[in-house]
Amino acid sequence: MNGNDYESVVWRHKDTVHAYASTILRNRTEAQDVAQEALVRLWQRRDGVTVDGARPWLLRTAHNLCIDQIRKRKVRSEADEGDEIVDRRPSEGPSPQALAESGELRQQIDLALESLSEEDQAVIVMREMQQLPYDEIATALAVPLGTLKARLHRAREKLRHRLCRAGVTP
Amino acid sequence: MNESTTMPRPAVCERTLQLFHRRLDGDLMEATERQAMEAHLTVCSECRETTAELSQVHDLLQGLSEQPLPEATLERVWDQTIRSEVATAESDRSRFLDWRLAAAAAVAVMMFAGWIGFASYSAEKARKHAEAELAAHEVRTVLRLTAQALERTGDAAIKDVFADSVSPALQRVGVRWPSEPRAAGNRPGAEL
Repeated sequence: MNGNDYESVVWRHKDTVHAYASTILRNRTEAQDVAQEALVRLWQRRDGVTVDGARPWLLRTAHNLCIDQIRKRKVRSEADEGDEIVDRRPSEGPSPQALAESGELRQQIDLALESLSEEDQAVIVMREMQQLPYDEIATALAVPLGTLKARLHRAREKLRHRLCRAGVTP
Repeated sequence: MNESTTMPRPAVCERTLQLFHRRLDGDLMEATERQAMEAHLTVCSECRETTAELSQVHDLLQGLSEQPLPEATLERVWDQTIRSEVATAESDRSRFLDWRLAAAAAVAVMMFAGWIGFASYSAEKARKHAEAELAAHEVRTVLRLTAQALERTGDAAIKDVFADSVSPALQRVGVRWPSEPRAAGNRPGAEL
């Protein structure tokens, strides 16, 4: 991948990478840092990445960086963590329309997502939110296609269960 | 909401939900599979409710990931990637130019030093040549003066030997000047 290829890849996938990190981390600053780091790492390893393989490569890198970031949070003190993480406590039984109008829908979905494992979150975000092709997701997460689909089905069920419990779905 | 997800589902319900997931995945299904799924959904309220919720969650999640990367972050990416390489290339080119300038300067210094050396050598050579010329001239002069001196001395010596001051002595021992007439009574072997 040459410099021109890299530039076009960044323009094409920067928002996808950032959106993935934002959804997984739910922290604006951390998400920007992860997206930036993933894009810079792609530049450093551009000789070994094709244009077609750039998006799964970026998502895999962003996913790993997100996992690292989440693990760092766990060892951080309560005072240091989450100063920008919004309060995602669910409200009592609002309708989806009311949630959407009040901007809480995303928060409810984020909260439900957060309750999933990191692997389940990744597959939900990449497939259900970003509609990425299965083969790219399988490459990004380094799992066989069959395993990916089984994980996706399981993650959908869990998410449905949590969103229903939170009253997001009727 | 169907709370039966915590309980094991009947096999037919499990099979139906798997087929429904495949539909959400966009997989193509056999006609018989699709008919079996739809047939079960018409008779199983729990599966109907579950699939409706899955569809709703699926729809909710679509397009929720619109999160443009902030411009400032993108600028930092460019700074650390493409712009960094351009700066490095310019630095390399500058270093190359510096190297060329240094090399040119070194060559110029060497040429100047060579010229100075050559000039010095030439001057030395010229000086030595002049000195040699002078020395040669002096030698020639000395030789000439010596020759003249010798010539003069020789003439004097000849005169001393053959002139009046010597001749009488020779004459006293019986040696005569060739041009002089042989004296009577002198031995013939005593002539010069």
